[in-house]
Amino acid sequence: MANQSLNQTDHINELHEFVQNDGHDLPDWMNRTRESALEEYRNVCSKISKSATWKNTKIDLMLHEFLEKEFRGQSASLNDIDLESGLDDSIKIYFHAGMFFCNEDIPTYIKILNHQYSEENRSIFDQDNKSDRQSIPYLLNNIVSRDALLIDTTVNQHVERLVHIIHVSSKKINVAPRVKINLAKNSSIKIVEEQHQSINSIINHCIDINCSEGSSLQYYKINHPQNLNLNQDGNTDVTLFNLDLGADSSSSLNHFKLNGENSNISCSTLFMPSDDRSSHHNVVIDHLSDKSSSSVNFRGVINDQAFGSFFGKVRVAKERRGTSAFMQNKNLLLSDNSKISTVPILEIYNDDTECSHSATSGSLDKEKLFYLKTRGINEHDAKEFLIKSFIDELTSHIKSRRMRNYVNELILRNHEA
Amino acid sequence: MTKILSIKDLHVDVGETAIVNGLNLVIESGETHAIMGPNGSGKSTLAKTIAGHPDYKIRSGKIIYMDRDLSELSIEDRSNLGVFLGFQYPIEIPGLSNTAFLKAAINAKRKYQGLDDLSASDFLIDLKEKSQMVDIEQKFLSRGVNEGFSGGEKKRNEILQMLMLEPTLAILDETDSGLDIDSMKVVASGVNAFRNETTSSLIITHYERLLNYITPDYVHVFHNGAIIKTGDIQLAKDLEDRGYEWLTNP
Repeated sequence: MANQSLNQTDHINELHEFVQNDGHDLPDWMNRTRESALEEYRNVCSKISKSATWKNTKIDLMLHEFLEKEFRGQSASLNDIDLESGLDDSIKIYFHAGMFFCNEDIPTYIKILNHQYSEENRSIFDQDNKSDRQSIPYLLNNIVSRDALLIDTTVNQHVERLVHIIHVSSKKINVAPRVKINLAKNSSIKIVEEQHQSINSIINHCIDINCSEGSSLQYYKINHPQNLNLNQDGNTDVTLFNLDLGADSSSSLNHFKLNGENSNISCSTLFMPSDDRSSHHNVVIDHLSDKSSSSVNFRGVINDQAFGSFFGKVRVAKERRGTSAFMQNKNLLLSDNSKISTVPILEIYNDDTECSHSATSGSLDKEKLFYLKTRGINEHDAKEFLIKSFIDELTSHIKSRRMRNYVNELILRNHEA
Repeated sequence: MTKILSIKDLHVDVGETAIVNGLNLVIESGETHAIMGPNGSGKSTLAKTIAGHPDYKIRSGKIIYMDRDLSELSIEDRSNLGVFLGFQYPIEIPGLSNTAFLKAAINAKRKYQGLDDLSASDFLIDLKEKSQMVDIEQKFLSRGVNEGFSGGEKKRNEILQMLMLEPTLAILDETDSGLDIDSMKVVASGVNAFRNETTSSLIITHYERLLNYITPDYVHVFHNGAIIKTGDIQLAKDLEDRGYEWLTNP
């Protein structure tokens, strides 16, 4: 069983050694945070082998890479790294191995907190969800993070420029800073968070988002599965789109809490692992207010020997009325050796709700292939058309035309590679 | 006249079941043939076999199209050589626009013929003209293939594809089923526009009513996977009056 290595003392010792050696230039409070996280991590590891929620993730591989690779390495500069990117007029924020580097002027509502920042900001490392499922990434983030990114909009602020957060890893390891986004009342922003140049395991990317009354967020994750905690107040509108091209092992954990009336979340994900990569996605939505609505749409395109999984759960409490929830997972298996696991769950304790969920998995439709071929289109092109149409059904719903084009271009580039 | 299609003692199985049993049929250029018959008589099996559906296995016999043995050709090569199948139940492909689909199909045929891709402007001019012929609005063309189309719209879209691809042999499998009278007139007018001395049609139908608008040269009655009677349009009218029983169970 893959999880057994988590209990090994060597693994904890290696992390302990890292904390001792890496922290000499950090303030005391940060070292204390790291040590406390390590202690908690030790406790979690003793229980994790019994946790069914990790069963689909190659957690031992992820941790092995995490420890084995020299992820700090030398500092990077923009010149060292090939950064092909569209979205030219966006506000760009670069992190290399979890540390900020950028010469661009950053607007005041975006704060980069480097490893010398004061203890008053330590709350950014707090986590409000202590479940085993979420603790591992958060704790690992706490153990190794140095820098943090805080986006704080002001009341009624509507940020016109796209904010583009780019994580770069030249040393074959993906280590992330902690990221927190606070949207003030009636503010709005569009954010893209993107992982460049890596198919290696992704484990400790964590983000917390709080949306105050009347705020609006469009958030795009590009090849950057992560652990996301989202809290929404009343009359908020959040649209998330996640493109995951697969990694050695990747896992995204999303927990959305609809705390206020008329809060609305729409979450779409396209995951496309190939070779022997994997891509695992978990989403839990808690309808904690009346008249809240959620729409979850995950699509997987699994090729070669890759493995994908979806676990989705919508919970509507007994006293919450007028809610609506839609959850769908569709998967396309492109080879005999590709695998998928899908579990959509509704936990509804109130009749005054409109909910639906569905999951389908299968290979390319033979009758559709026949239809295309009868129009002169060859087998290869017919399959490409069907795969593309499966993908386009999801990406065509991306609100921003610019982001839609960007995502489609990335998919095409990945496909051609 | 040129022999377009020649079917000789054809036997077709689907799984373990024999569906077509000793069919013989010759279609020459410029001719329109109608095949009529009760449910389950094997009409659609014949259509799909000619088009090359992998589930329909030729046990014995030959289908010769323009001197080529069709069983030796892939599905797409049959199409590129000029065989068109209008589906009884056209397939929906959301996410692939009608326009992109048609353009790919036309350029696949041109590539097969050693021609360059059709220019975007020539394609659009042709598409506009032919979509008007079958009463399909331009906005439908940007939608996914047959996505959200009514039954009549789907059938008209099949005829549009036929007109765009300009085949030599059009096989229309129950194109009239589910059509109201107005849609049927539109479909018939599209088929009549396609007919000329170099093209041929094989129209499969249950009812005589489509043949009020498309006059066939021959009407064949299909039963138990073979033609049991051949006549002209009067045979179709007799079937409308008397049903099939006087032929299938005399």
